[in-house]
Amino acid sequence: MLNNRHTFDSQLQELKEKLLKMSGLTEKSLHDSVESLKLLNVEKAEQVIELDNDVDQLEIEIDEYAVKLIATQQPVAKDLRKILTAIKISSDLERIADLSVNIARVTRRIQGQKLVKPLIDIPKMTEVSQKMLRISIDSYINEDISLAKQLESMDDIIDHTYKEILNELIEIMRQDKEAINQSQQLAFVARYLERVADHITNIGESVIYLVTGERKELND
Amino acid sequence: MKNGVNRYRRRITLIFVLLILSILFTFYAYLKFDLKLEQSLINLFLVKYIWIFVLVIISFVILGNILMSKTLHLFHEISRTIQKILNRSVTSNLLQSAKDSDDINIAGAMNKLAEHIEKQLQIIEHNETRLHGVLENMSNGLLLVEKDRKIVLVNRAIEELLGYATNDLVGKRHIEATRHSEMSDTIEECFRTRGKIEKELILYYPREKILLANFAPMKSETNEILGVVVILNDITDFRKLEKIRRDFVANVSHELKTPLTSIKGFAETLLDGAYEDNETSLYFLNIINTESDRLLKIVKDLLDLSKIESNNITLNKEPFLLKNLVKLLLITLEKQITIHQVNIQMEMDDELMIVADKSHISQILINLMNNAISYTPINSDIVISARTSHNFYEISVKDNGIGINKENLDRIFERFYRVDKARTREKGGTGLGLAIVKHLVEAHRGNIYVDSEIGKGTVFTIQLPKEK
Repeated sequence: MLNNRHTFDSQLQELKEKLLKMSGLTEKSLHDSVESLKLLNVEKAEQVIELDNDVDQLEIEIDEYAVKLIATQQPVAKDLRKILTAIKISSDLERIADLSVNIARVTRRIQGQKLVKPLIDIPKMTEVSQKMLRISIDSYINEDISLAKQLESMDDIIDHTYKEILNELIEIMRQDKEAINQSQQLAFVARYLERVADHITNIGESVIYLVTGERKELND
Repeated sequence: MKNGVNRYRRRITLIFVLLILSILFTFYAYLKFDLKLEQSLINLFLVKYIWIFVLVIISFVILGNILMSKTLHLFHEISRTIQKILNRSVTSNLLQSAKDSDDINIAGAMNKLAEHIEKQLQIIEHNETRLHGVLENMSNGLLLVEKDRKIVLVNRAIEELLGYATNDLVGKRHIEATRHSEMSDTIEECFRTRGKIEKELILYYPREKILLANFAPMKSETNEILGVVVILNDITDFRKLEKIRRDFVANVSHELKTPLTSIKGFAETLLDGAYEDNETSLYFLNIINTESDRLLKIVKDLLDLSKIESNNITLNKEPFLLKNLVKLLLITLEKQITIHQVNIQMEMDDELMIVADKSHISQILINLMNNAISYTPINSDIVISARTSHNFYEISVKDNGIGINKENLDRIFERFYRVDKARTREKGGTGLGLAIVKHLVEAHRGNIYVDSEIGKGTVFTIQLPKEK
């Protein structure tokens, strides 16, 4: 019995490590996608798009592993929540990586053009998102709810910056018809980043569920 | 030592044997007389003899106690000394309480042991301090992962690199601590292949950093793998410098190629027959002349720059009146001033005397004034002002021209950096002017500052320290 528990614990640890690996890759693809846009580096954008395959593969792996654990160990209470949380977090991470791919596609689309404005707020937004991603995963590893709750106020910053970027871009479009196409693309990027932050707060919510067994909305 | 302990043991055993014998004897006598004598006789016997036995027993107990207490006292001392050794406050006072030769033997041995342990501990502590000092002061980040994949050792540099405190790193599995899939994969690879691995990794958090990472297996004497040592070297700045150098080479080639292409183009056209037409050939030759002048200017600027950079310049410091120098420079720039129709004002004391390398100061001022004239609309004002304080001179050139935005402000002193590529070339700049200014000011151990606002204008201020 004890031995069985020991095996199960190490299986849960393995699940956790797969998830951490996935979060590492997601972090990379989020960072690189905005970097590719900032430098208009198409090569980097292509790498982000390619990296998405690895993230997708890991999501499938995590799902299958989780299903196997549920089927063979029939976990209850917190153990069950641990597995469910892993599935949910991996799906959020996968979405974040997808959104990064979308940003990389924007780089590909506007290649050869000059940026209508130097990118300042978008990298700032990315920086906050990256920090949020770190905090959400930290809260998962340490099962620390107070960390997860920090995400709420950070998400507010993201929403605020998002609105500011939109207003600025609309102003640019109004003044310069030539810039409409690219401004629209940049608005998409801001939107993608706003969605990224939402997925990260979802991770925070999952952690709260894992620890307390209760649901709490972090973004409203 | 062993002999001494045995003798104590024998003494104690003897006491116990005697005690038991006396009790048995008493009992035996009691039983025996009980069977054979009348009650009164027994009573008589008890009164007469039992006291002897009781006395014998008591005396043995007392004797035993005295002997035991001496021994116990020594054991007590030993245990106290051991406690002291554990608490790291060893004083060799064990000998004082030792009385006979056996005690002295044990105490002496204990003292020796204590000294030995103390010495060993000092060596260990010394080594540990040394190791700690080396690790903490290493500029490279270090991480030791043991066989169970947990991190057991980190240094301060790694905290800065990964953005986590030591407490958050030690004891965690490596993927939990590094959060870097490639780094973790390589650690695993190192465990598997048992060979050294070197690779470049990019960190994304808290800041983007490029790391040169070395992974080395730590092996036991039996060649069993015990752990993996990871050493991280931050090479971000190095890569940045490399990029600047690459950019510079690319820029130089580009800047030289542009005038050369047009010289070659026009020369070829002339050779192809255009020389027969006088008017055309004159026009083409003029262009060739202008372009070669530009080429010459770039080459000259490059040479100047490399001379200043290699620190080979000697400063011929001499005192001179700044206002006279500026007036002289204005004459040199007269042609441009008339073309751009700018209004130049001088705000400085007639008597302001500066001690510096006159030719360098003129080059600095010419470059700054040239920029001010070129990037200012017609009919605007340029103010050249100077003042002196007790330890430095301050000269500034202020225009109300187009201005430079914040993103470009940090980079304008880079070689060939142009805020607007097309416009600068059209104005005839080489892209090296401000780089030269900066280096010349630095050669004087001075500082240059720039303050600018788009549409409002730019102020360049140089501060030169006074001679002591």
